[in-house]
Amino acid sequence: MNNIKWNHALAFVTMASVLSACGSGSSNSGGDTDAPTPANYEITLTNVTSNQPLSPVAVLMHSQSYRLWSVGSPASVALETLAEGGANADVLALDDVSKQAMASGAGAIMPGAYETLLVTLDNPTTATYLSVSTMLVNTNDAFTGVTGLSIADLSMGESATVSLGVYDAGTEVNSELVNTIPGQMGEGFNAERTDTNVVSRHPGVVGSDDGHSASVLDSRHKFDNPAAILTVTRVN
Amino acid sequence: MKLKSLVLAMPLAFSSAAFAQVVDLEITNLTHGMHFTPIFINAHSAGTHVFEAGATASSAVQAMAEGGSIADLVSGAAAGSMTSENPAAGLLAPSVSADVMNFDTGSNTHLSLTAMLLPTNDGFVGLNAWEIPQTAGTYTVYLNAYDAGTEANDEIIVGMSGGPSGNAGIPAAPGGDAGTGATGVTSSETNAMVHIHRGNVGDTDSNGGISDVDSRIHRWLNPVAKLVVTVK
Repeated sequence: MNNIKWNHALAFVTMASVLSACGSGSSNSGGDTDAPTPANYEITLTNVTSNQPLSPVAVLMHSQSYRLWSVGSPASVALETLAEGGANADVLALDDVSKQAMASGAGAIMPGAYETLLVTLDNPTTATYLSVSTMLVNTNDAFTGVTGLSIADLSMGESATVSLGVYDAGTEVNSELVNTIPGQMGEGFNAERTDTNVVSRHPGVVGSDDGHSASVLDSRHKFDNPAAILTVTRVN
Repeated sequence: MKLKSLVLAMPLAFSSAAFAQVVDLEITNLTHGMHFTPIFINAHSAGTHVFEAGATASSAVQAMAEGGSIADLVSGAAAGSMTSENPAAGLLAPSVSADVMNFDTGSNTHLSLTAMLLPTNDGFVGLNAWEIPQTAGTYTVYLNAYDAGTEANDEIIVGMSGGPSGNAGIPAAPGGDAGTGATGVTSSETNAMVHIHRGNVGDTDSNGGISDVDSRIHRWLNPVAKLVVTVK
């Protein structure tokens, strides 16, 4: 926040000196009347799993107070909907004063693939935090992402890269049965909560090749941390 | 406050010297289904290690990793080190946090932490001699699961007799979500040094199979804990 404010103030000073050099004669000593300059961010998410397509990504920019999830707390229904079925609309529909911008991925990001989203922040003078979430679709309720990542300190051309671990929404037991895995044509969202009902890190896929004979998943669906790499670049 | 202003007044050239710090700690069990036994936290000088990957576990670390007892770690802590024990007042359940407020590290510069993971034979969460920052602020450290290398990972839950050092078997699965009647995953270990834990194998048979732990519940991926250190 401080950094961007500072940059903004510097931009104003530069503009003021240009004006006075042109002899415009109008002096603006306040500086609080100029409209904020939008900031654009490139958000790139790369899927580094073996065989876990990532559901359409949900990107939120928000103020410091908001978190999309917290380890040890129950998942919101919106996050449960994303983590169990891959649908991101409810997460993006967050109707909250803290929301500053949002973006949705165009589609699933396949293993080895990446997607870049451009997000415009209309008023970058406020503290800005980023939350990104996407489901590992060959699981019961695993998702990866980050919440509350500060990006306000990024100046023009700077980028930050974060390795993303896998979380368990805690809303659906990790049965790995065929009718429960959306990536295997099984059920997506179900409001019933059949697991711990708190968000944790994910224990990983077991799979039929590793002793869970009833699992529809196999060794190819296993993953480790990180599952995705996130790069945020401020492009202007 | 007095100490903080002292630090600020010191020239940068001395910034690596040892200054007393008071820190707040928050440790979160990040796992989905593993409990932590009582946590041992120790602030010590550079060059001291509670445990080290690639080295033999001390008998105190063995007692912690096989049975959850930190009594020997506390009584055997390095002279001049500062200890905080059992901030969770017992087990730290999955996804739960425990706090240590105003931990005075004395003149110590490094921080270590251990707690056994249940149900495992000799698995523990560990932080090995992390240098405490001199600058006030909030720092986040992610912790991995280690294997003490002192007991075969048979994954058989035998009850409290499995706790004392040298006894085979896992003492307990506090979540009440494990099986019985397992034949055992293995009876030997290759690496007798402290090393990164390979993870539980488990199975889905609650009345037999090779393991009493449940592969759908009692596995983990690193990191298994998050430590937030607030330097005041």
